[in-house]
Amino acid sequence: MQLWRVLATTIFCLTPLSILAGPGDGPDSLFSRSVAPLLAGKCLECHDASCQKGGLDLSTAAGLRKGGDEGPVVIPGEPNASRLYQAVSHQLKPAMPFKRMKLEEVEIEMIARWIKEGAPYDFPLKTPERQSASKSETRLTDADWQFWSFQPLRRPDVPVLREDDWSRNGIDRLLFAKMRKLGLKPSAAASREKLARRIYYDVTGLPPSPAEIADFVADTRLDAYERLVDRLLASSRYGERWARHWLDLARYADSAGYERDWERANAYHYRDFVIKALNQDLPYDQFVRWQLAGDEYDSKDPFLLAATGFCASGPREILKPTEQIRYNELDDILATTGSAMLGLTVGCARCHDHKYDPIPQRDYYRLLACFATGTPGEQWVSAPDERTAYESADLEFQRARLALKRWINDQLGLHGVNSEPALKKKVSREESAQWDALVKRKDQALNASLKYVRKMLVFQDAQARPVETFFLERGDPALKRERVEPGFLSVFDRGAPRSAGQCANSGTRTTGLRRSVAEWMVDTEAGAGSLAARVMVNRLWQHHFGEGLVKTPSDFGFQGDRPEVPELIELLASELVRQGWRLKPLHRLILLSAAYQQSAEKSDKHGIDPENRVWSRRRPQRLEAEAIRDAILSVSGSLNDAMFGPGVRPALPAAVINTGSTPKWPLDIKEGPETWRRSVYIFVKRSVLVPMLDIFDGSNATGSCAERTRTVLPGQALELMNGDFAHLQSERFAAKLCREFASNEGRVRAGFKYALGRIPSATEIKASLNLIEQLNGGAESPDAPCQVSDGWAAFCQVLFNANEFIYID
Amino acid sequence: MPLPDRCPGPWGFSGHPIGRRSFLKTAGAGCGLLGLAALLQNEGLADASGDESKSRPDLAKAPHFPAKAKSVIWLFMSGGPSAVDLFDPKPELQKNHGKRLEGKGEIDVFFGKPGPLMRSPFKFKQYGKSGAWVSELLPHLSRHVDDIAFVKSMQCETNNHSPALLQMNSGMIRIGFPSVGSWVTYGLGSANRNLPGFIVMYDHRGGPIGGSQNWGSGFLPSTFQGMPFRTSGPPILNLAAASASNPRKQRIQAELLRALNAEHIVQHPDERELEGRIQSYEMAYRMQMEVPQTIDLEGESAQTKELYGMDNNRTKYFGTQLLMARRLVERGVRFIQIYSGGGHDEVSNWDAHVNLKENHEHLCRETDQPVAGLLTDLKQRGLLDSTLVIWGGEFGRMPISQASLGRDHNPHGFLVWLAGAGVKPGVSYGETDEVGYKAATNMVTVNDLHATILHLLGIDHKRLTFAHNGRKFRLTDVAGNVVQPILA
Repeated sequence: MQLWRVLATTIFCLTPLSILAGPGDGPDSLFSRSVAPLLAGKCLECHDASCQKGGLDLSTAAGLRKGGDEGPVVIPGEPNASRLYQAVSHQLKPAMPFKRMKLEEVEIEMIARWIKEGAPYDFPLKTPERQSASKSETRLTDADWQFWSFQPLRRPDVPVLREDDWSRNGIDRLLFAKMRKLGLKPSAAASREKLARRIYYDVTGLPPSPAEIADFVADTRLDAYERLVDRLLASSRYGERWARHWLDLARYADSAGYERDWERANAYHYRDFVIKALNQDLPYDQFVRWQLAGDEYDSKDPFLLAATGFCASGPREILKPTEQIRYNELDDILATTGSAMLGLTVGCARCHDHKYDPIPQRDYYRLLACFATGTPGEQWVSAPDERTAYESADLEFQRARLALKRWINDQLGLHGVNSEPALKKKVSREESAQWDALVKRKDQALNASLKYVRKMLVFQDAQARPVETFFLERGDPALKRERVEPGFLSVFDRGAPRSAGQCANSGTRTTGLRRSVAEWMVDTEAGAGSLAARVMVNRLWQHHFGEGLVKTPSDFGFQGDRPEVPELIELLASELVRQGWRLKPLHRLILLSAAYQQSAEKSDKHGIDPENRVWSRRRPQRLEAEAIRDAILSVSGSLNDAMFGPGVRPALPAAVINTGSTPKWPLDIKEGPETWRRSVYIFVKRSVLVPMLDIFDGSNATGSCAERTRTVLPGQALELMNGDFAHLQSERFAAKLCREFASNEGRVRAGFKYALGRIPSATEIKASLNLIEQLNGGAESPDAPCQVSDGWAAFCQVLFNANEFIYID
Repeated sequence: MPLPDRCPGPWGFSGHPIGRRSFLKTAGAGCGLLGLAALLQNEGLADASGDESKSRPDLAKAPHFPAKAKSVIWLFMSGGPSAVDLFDPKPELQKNHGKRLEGKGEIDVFFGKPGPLMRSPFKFKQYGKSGAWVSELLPHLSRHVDDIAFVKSMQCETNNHSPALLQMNSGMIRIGFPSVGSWVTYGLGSANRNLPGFIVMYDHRGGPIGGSQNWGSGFLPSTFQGMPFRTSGPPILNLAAASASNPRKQRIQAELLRALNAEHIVQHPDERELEGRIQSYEMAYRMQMEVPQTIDLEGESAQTKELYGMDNNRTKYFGTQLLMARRLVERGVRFIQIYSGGGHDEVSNWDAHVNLKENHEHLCRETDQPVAGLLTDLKQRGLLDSTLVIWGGEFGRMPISQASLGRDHNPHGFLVWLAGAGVKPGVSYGETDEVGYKAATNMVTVNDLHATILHLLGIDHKRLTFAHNGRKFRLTDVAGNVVQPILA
């Protein structure tokens, strides 16, 4: 007893906050009686001196006082403000004890009382014996594989409630039950006009024309809406719209990033693969398999080869590759695959066991070993005769290049200079002419060879024998430990790690390891298939409703959101598998639900369910950057709907191009039909982001992006009020109105119908005509021959800037 | 300007810095930018909780502890300046000119083969009370050494420009992470609501290697990315395009826009983001007013312009940028980064592979007077006490020669200096070895430098976090120690 007093007093004296962590009342204190056993039994496994998860050591008074990485955990006297109390009472995430049963209410109360009394800490505590033999490696437990998202799929029973005349399918019935529990009712159905505008944008990313809205409104057939849904899902525009969502996840770009930001002229095949796959309703499991290992399923089929662009699309530093850089590339593939396909932050386990999820660091390297033999490269997809022509043209190019190089080297020596710029100053006119001729020869040869290039960016293994992969201590290539066998995430095997067998028949020059990952990924029985299905249906929901059922669409782990209606995810995921992993039936199910068709106009439900977690109302959705640009092009009549092919480059202000050390975008582009393609076809240059897309939160292609942030910034207003693109398209829209309609009022009406999908009110017509009149200098006669004057373009531009234009009900 | 009559902006047009609380008070009175959709599940600093900080993350926030620095001006010498030729003379290097560098392990050069040790072609003298050494290339700056803290033992992880620039700017050698300026504006918000909080000015010969990747906001919302600011023509993209030349037209357009939006909002009373968007237009109009005033140097005296070297063609461009930086600081802009050196050849930036002497003479002539002028000007206006000035490159240069007269990249030991708010004046911290190859005492990593910068701004680098992909990220990742000895 004496001893602990001395010890505790010593600590006490060192403590600046002397009220905290002072001694209590001896052996009968609340601390020694109740708190100490609780801390020792429930907390110290992770929060003792040797483990210190989150930087927190609760085994001594000093540790308690210091708190964790994020600061103090106890504020003496104030349990409610103390993070320790918040965590055990589950007000704070991650809730504690981590992944374990919540403490008993009396225990939580006791912690509160203890903190209220100043959190006296009488004596240091001893950590109980650890269960796991190895301190450094997380051992997976029942709590891990019993976590909801790692469970096999279970199709829920869908309740049929009495007095439910709202529900149209299982989605609705599940939601209706939840709403009823909360005392909520679904919102009224949206008007036909609004519904048409919503679903066109949602499925195709483009607005309906006034005629298309009118047709739908006038269609009195009982299945008019169903027909519209089917027609839109069958449209090629669907693939273009939804490909963009997937390309965000795949951090797709047409250049490599970093200093030179090398262009990948052959990368677009992957983008086209995604669009085609969606339009063909390629089953999602196939879609996943081919992206990971298309080459190992069929090394000849260009469609499958293009799919491997998923692995090859990451940023790459090519200037001076090092082992560290190589591991960074593999990490990019692993992190992207984990986020996009599994909704797991696999990349977090690179340097240590995952802090929250059951992903030991060893699993990371086992999975990495499956990709480690592969590299991005180019694959021929040309016809054989083209290939021969290319090869001879390329030979000439190589010769010309060498000749030039040799000549320069000789000249450097002759003139005694070190660099080309220095040489430029020294050469005679004659020599300069020789130089130019050599450069010309080289350029011509290059252009000649490029005519025949039909290559695509692919990801392929370098050899059949797997490259050895090591466990890297702290993720550091200099700290290699033992070799690891290729394998998968062991949590799906109940903690008994399964090795990745090398898939036979994969081909002779490839390991087959990626193919075995691909099979595992979508295997609902023995692999990660159930999780993959859950993650994907959640993404569909997310883009149809603006938010996922799980609000962290790429984190289905312990730190992620838990679905408010878990049965709904189970229903949709089971349905996806039952439908042979085809996505269109799932879209259809969602679009035909009454939940989807609710009105977005004012409701009284904000108070009960402010976050709309049971989906009893629709919230207006802001269009993404690409959809805003596409909508403007479509409304102005400029949109060129050609599909596929190399990325297109819109004209950019010189100020944007010059932000790099060398111009990386042509300065002389003119806007026109060539550039007025859908935004999904814009060339994605990692160092030159297109301002019109960037300012509206477009993805920057540096990593897998599951959800766009949505900002409201003055720069956006400047872009749409002052930007060249908005100006030009406003003028074109004005010209279209003037061409198509004779009367001023008719033009105003049509303007609203095109841009906002509705007819304007009398006040709005008056205000619009007033604007035109003021800017055009005096009253125009009602039916004046239309000039595309300032006034009309200004009117059109206002429509593009209206909230209603980019927020869809 | 349109719109304010519906909802008078709480700031008028002068853009006075405003505390969040007083802003809330005003905004709470019935119309505000508040409570838009919760787009961020994060908060910058402790003070920034609640709806409004999520929807408008650029609002001013209180620091973790009282800050010494309100603003930062970072003079980025792109390409990598040489310490042994500017501030850190090495007698051993002079003595051993022409000899092989030995006993330092394998010499990691970026291009070619390692050459012999090369003495500095420049003369050095000691200056000020602190007796700091400065080379003959920097006569103007030499008068300021007693305001400066030199850190001579910097290290970074790569000798390749692009990843090194990324590391100096974001702490990581990979792309996709927020830059220091983004973290700072995320943490502290903007003190002037009519100007961006993070402004970048780059060399007239072009931007740095990697361009906008260097001031990207990574996984932070795009509002925190650096805004390039030009010294001629419209400083901000789209700021003064066609319609700005016609304020009447803009006003008339805004009237119709307001009418349309008002009707739309009535139908969506719970969607406060819509209100926020209306306010963003108001702010855009105000920016159009404020920015031209900011860049209008007419009111600056001839004396001030001379101080910055604006009367000399060689120093004019950089001088103008630095004077602009001072004006931005006066207006509460949080983070300003100015690059000296752009383009991609031997003479346009500090990357002196071929002829160090010519290269550094040329770039020092361009920058010396403006940098000294900036320090003088900040000091005489009392701004140096609240402004942190940082000077340095993405790495330094080797003591050995390359191509006989140049120096290669050196990430193992290089120099940065800091001055102003909270920095201990007239000190030197850390040393490289006897020839200036590797940091030998008191090594300072890029994480340490970043932790120190945040500290001076009142931010605890361990507590400024952003949750992304399942974990909380920091500017300093899992490392970083504040360099206490250089703090006042």
